[in-house]
This record gives sequence, structure tokens and C-alpha cells, in this order.
Amino acid sequence: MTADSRIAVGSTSDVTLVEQARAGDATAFERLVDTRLDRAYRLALAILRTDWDARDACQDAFVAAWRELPRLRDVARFDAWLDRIVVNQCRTLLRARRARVREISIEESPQSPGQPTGPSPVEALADGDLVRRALGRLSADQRLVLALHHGEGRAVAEIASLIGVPPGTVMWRLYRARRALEKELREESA
Amino acid sequence: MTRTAPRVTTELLNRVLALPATSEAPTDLHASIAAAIRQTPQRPAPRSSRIAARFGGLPRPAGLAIAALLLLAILASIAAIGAQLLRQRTPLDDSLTFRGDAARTGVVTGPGPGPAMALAFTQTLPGQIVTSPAIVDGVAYMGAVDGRFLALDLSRGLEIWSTDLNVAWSSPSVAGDLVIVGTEDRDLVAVDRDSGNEAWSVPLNAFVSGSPTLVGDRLYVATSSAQSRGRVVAGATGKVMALDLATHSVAWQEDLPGPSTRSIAVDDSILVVPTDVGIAVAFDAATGRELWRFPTQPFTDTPVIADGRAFLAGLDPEGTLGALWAVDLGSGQEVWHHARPSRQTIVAPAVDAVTGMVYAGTVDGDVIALRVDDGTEVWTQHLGAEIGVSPTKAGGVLYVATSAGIVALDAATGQVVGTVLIDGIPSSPAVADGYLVAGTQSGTLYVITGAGVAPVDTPAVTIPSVPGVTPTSTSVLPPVAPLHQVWARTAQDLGLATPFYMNIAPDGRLWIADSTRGRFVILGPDGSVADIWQPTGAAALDLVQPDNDRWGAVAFEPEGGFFVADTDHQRVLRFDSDRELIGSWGSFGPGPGEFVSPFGITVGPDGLVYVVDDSTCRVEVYEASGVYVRTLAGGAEFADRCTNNVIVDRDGNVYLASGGRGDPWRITAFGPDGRVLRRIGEGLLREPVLLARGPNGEIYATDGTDRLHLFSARGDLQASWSGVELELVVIGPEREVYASGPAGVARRYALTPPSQP
Repeated sequence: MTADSRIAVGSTSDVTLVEQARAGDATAFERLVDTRLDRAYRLALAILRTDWDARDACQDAFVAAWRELPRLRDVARFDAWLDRIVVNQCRTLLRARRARVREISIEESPQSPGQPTGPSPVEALADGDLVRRALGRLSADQRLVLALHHGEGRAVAEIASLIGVPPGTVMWRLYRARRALEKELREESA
Repeated sequence: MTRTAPRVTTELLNRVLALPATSEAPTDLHASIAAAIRQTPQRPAPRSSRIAARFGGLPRPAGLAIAALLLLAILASIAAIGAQLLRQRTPLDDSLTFRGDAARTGVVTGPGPGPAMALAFTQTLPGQIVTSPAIVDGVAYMGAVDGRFLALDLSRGLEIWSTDLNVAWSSPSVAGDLVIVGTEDRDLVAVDRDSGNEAWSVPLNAFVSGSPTLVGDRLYVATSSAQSRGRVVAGATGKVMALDLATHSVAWQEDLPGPSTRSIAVDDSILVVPTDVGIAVAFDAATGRELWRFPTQPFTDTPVIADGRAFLAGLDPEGTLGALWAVDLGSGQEVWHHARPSRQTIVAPAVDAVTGMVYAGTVDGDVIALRVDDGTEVWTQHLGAEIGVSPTKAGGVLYVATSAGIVALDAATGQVVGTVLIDGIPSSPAVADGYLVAGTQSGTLYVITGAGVAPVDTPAVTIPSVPGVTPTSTSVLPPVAPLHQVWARTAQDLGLATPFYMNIAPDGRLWIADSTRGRFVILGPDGSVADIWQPTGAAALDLVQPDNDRWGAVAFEPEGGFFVADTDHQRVLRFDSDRELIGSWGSFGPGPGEFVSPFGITVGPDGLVYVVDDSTCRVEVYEASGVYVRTLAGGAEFADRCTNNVIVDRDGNVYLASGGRGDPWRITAFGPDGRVLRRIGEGLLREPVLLARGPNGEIYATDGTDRLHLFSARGDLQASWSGVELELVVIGPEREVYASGPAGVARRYALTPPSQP
């Protein structure tokens, strides 16, 4: 999914739903969940890589959004605000679970084989497996920016807005993440 | 068998990290969320801050000193509960009360974050945080001024419960299943740890600003008849009270020589009670009989009891009487005292009886280590940033909260081994369970762990000195005519895919970078598209890469040549007036002539090129040929806090906007030599602030309130316009305003300057 295709609070009905939910209407909030859950889940899955983690992050994020909604001043920014909550929940989970380095199996990979060109399918799978394991050893922030940029296809400026840092910081983290990944891969291969 | 490591290419990352097109949420997740929100109450909308101007009427140094004093008072007054555990001298992994134990030693033998500490998460609370949390089983219990009292799961960063308990200044203590705290309603209240439900409440008709102190089945509190917020309130009185924990009835109470807004320290059978009139009083814990008094004027911080001594810090915002005393606990006689050459305040220390060391911070930025037995100074580390709260020692690491960040020091040597930058004046950090938790007066709660993300050799916090800071004049402004819109164009009108940056060329045409298409759309003064320029050849290769975001801040020379910041490729491209690429410079890195994220760019009156690296907030200065000249700004004050455009006035002074994370937004003016000349707009500007230069060198700034401000080069506010949605603006030669923002990618306004007096 690209940034351009994301849902935005723009229609009158959406704005009304957010306002109703902000006033305490749980049914209105559930309708907002209806239209945004898939997007939030994909975002969480891109960052966290496992279904259960993504479920947890989504559930926590929507509950937090519901609880904090009366404090959202600009209803037109609901989607950006919700995205930030999802990302923050993912980041919290990443940090909490980094203590146990997870090795993501090839079977867990959502990527079907045979897409890439260059390396053979077997090599590509092996490379992918190596990379996924190495990713598991990166810091939460490094994994986050890689997932948002390469997994979600989000632009640097958008990531910066999501996580509340300047674009340059995102670029710096992407650079550091790639270097760290290379180091992990070298050690893994050795 | 080994194999060659795969090269980390964009293609590989995209392939590995991409999700299949049909990654939909599990069908039962919606129902699960719906059920959860039905059980979750919403938080009320925030109330306006009542505290914002608390120090507003004071001269700045006094305000700062009192702010520090206040913090100390509040933090110190919070913590009293672990005394029954103290009796056993058993180190705790939890932090049940302020400073970790009822003796207020500030020494915990459970794990802290360690040298490789790193920020786990932050949480913003609706009010200032001036207390320390109690931490039990990875849950922090705490309150915020003008906010709520809440329980926070530190491992997940999630709020477990919150209540409307009016807690502001008292740090809670935990006794079994209860969290006990003083409220602004002048009650002592216990709530259930799991639910936050009130278990009992005792009306005291006085404020408990310290942390309740629990020893066995007794609960001790010191009170003030007025909420002093760290100031001595004329006529205020105080008491020390002992309550039975089971029945909440008063066992004994005694008058104090003045109000007490800090915490009591207890060791075995002796209470040491601080007062706001600079007298510490010791009582027999069982009977309330007064044992001795010790003067520490003008204001006594929370005492510490260790090794048969009471350590008493006398706080003095004026910096003439500040000192730390070691007093014999039995007799109340002075054993030794220590004062800084500045006589500045030394805050209540951490005292490790095992190693025989006393650790304290000073308001003028020193951390000192003294011997318990004779007060001999062992080491001093100058951190440079104000230290207004007590340090905490865990293992061999001393954690010190400064106004610039949390600093970890090797307790044996004083060497800085780790830092985490924070914004705002911090509360005393609580350390437990491997976490360090500290809040700030700006309402941000910092949770720090030893996740190992931060390098061990993180450099020490350095606090830039700011010479010659001149407050901005905000006198009554002349009335101005409103901005008049001449035309407006949308991205769709102009065929822009990703409009990013714009600037006025010397011929008066407006260049808009269409960044993802690697081209510029150029508008005439009437808003029509006059030209579209797609760089080709080497420039196109630089501007158009398949996998990166592209940028295009552009700055013009008077003769029509121009420079483009090629942010993704960490370089600056130079074109002549025929749009031929005639040079480029820059490479990735943090050093001179290198960029991480060259973003904003401008050309000064001297022909020098100024480039803002918005990752580090450095302003690098180059000759037009790309020869590096010097670096301005940067450093801890600006890192991650600046906006990404820079302007230079006709005298060569450089202006950079920065703020956020608790710092006020402002414009800093640097002289050509990099010296800070003045701060502009502090207290006026709101996030974010973007700058533009007027035709005569005057400074325009937009801010988050959709206002356009005009400042003189001296920093005086001359006019403000509002009512128009503005983000990036550029000012043309006739003072026409070109604006970009949510309301349209390019708009032109006519601006009538204010009449000059």
C-alpha cells in the first residue's frame, strides 16, 4: 500500500464519525475501526512481522485511540494521529520483545518465492532468511524505519511525521540500519 | 560451511520486508477491539494548564532557582514507605517510595538501566511532572500537576488505570496492595494497586507534599498548612503526624517550626523531618518526643539517613548559604559539612554506606563524591547542566538527572558512561527493575532501559553556553492591513506530483520543486506556469534515483545561478544561469564538508552558501565553489530541534529556528563568526517555525498558529498577520508573500508593511 492510497479523514461522514466517537459514541468508533483496521494491521504487520504481535499492537492502539480521542483537537488529523499511535505501540512491542531475539522462519515470511530477479529462487530464499534473522537483531528504531520505508513504502518525510523526528533523522536511522544489517549479515555468514 | 553475505540492496530489503497484497486483519480482531473499547472509559478532554505561569513573574535566575527548589521539595516530599524493609537492610528491586527506601538513601542494589541505557519510550501527561514514581513489579505509580494519578506498565508503555485523584506534589509510596499519596485536597489517600479504586482517605486539613513514610504498622507524614510550591509561605505552619496503618487513626502529632513540603527520612526509631524554614527536627518514632534540631537555613531538603548519620542539604536559591551537613543521628551534632565555592545549592545526596560514599549534585552543574566519614572530596564531575534533583545509585552506576539529560556516571570515578537527552527540568529519577523513570516539568515521562541500543561510549552531555542572550521585545504592535490573496494554485492545477520546496528567483519567478519527478515547475508573478525544467544528464542522475525520496530546496545567486540541495545524496549541486550543472560537493558523514541530510539552503550577501543539515542542525558555510568555510550552530541545543530552513541577513548574520521537546520555539541569530547574538520570538512563536528573508534583510517567520511575524534584524517584533493558513513562505522583492501549505501549494498575497513610527 502506498501513502497515496491511504484513507484520509476528509469526507463529512468520517469527520462526523470522529466527532461522535470523540463525544463518547462507541458505535461510531467501531465504524471507524471498520474502515481502518486492515490498514492499521498491515502497518503493524510490516513493522512487527508476526500476526500475533500485529494483533496485539492493533488492539492496544485502537483502545488507546478510543481512550484518548477526547483529547484529539483536530478531527481532520485523526488518521495521522491513529497511525502514530499504531507505530508507537509497535515500537513499544519491539522494544519489549527485543530481549528475546526472534528468528523468523521462512514459513512465516509473507513473501511468496519466485518474485525476485538476480539470485536464483533458492538463493533468494536463503538471503531473505538471513536478512530476516539479522533484522531481528537490530534495534527497535532501526527495524521500525526499515519496515516503514521498505515494507510499507512510506516516504522519509512521512515516516518523520509518524515518529516525530526530522526527515534527516529518519535518513540517518535508515543509513545506520543498513550498515548494522550488513554487519549482522557478515557475522551470520561467517 | 560459510557463504558470502548478501549485499543489502534496496531490492533485497523491499523483497524481504514487503507484505503480500492481501494482508488483511484477522476476522475476529474487530470484535475483540469492539469488546475492549466497550470496557474502556474515555479520558476527559484536557483542562487548561493552571500552572503555566508559575514562575512567570520572577526574574529568570530566581525563577530557575525556585523551579529547582520546587522540584526538590516536591520530589523529596514524596517517598516514605519502605522502612519496614529497611529494618532488614534488604536491598529492593522495586522502588516502593521516594528515593527507594524510607531512609531516602537513593541507593538501590537491584538493576538499573546500566551504562548502555537508552530511551524505551516517552509518554506525555497533561501536566507538569514534578514527582517520582513508585515502581513495583514493572508498574510505575505517579501523578502529574493538573493531571491524573495513574499506573503505567513500563514493559509495554501502556496505562493500566488512571484516576482523577488530585495528586500533584506528593510522590506515592506502596504498602502491600495499596498506593498511598497526599492530595491537593488535603487528604491522605490510599488506592488499590490493581484497580486504582480508592481504599481509604484521611482528611488532614493540611497538605502532604512529601512522600508518605511507612515503618512497620506506622505511617508518618509531614504537613504544611499552605501549599507552598517550594516557597516559604508567611504564616504557614506544619506538623509531623504518625498514623496507624490499619485504622488510619492519629497515634501522635507534633508541631514543627515551620511547614514541611519534603519527605521524612526514617532509620530504626528516629524520624528526621525537614522544614521549609531551614530547620531539621528529629523525633522518636514511637512517641513523637523531639530529640534534636539542626539548622540548615534557608530551606531543608529531604534528609538522608545512613551509617548512623543524617545528611542534610540546605537549599539556597540565592547561592550564598548552600551546603551539605553530616550530622550524628543520635546527638544531632555536626560531624562535617561541605560547601561549594559558589555556595550554591547542593541537593539531597545519595549515600552508600557500604562503599562509604556520598554523591550529590549542585545547581551549578557539578556532581560531587564525598567520603561518608569525613566529607573529603573524592571526585567531581562538571556536567554543566543544572542539577536540581537527587541522584540515584544502582550497582556501580550513579544516575543524575540534569536539565539537559539523564547522565550515567561510574560511581567509582565520576566518569560519564552514558547519557540520554531529555527536554525540560526533570524530576528525581526512580530506578527499579532495570528501568529508570523520570518526568519533566513539560509533562513528558521518560522511561529508560538498558536495551543496549545506546553505545557505551556515548559522549557526555555538553551544554552550550549562550552569551549575550537578549530578551525579545514584544511591545504593542502597530495595526496592519490583513494579507490580501492575489491568486492561489493547487498541486492539481500545476500538475505537481510531490511539491516540496519553493523559492523566488532573481527574475521574480517562483520555482517549485516537484520532488518525486525530479523537476521544477516555475510560475510567473501572475501564478501561471511559465516553465518546467527537468534537469538532465548528470544532474538528472543526481536528482532522480529509483528508490529514494527526492528533495529540491533551491537557492539563487543574484546573477541567476543557483544551488540545489540534493538531500538524499548528501550533496549540493551548483548550476549556472543557463541551468548547466557546473559543480557539486558533499558526501555522507558528520564532519566538515559532509552531510547527513542537507536540506535547507540559502545564499548570503557575501556570496557564501549556507546549508542546513537538518539531522544535526548544523549550518555549514561554503564558498560558491564548494570550498568548506565553517560550521555554525549544531550541538545539543539544536539537535533534532531545528526547522530546516535558514536565512542570512544583509550583514551576514544567520538565523535558525529551533524548539520542541520541551524547549520553547525561538529564532537564534548567529553572527558571521558563529557567535550567538540574540534569541528572537521566545514565548511568542509556536511549533513549527519557518523563516523567510525580506528584501531589506528583515526576518519573517511563520509558526504553528498560522501567523506571519515580521521582526527587525535586531529581533524586535514589528508586526503579525493572522487568519491565513501558512507554512513555508518566501518573500518577493515587492514584499509579496508566496505561501505554501494545506490550503494550496502556491498562493500569492499582497502584504502591506506596518507604518513606521
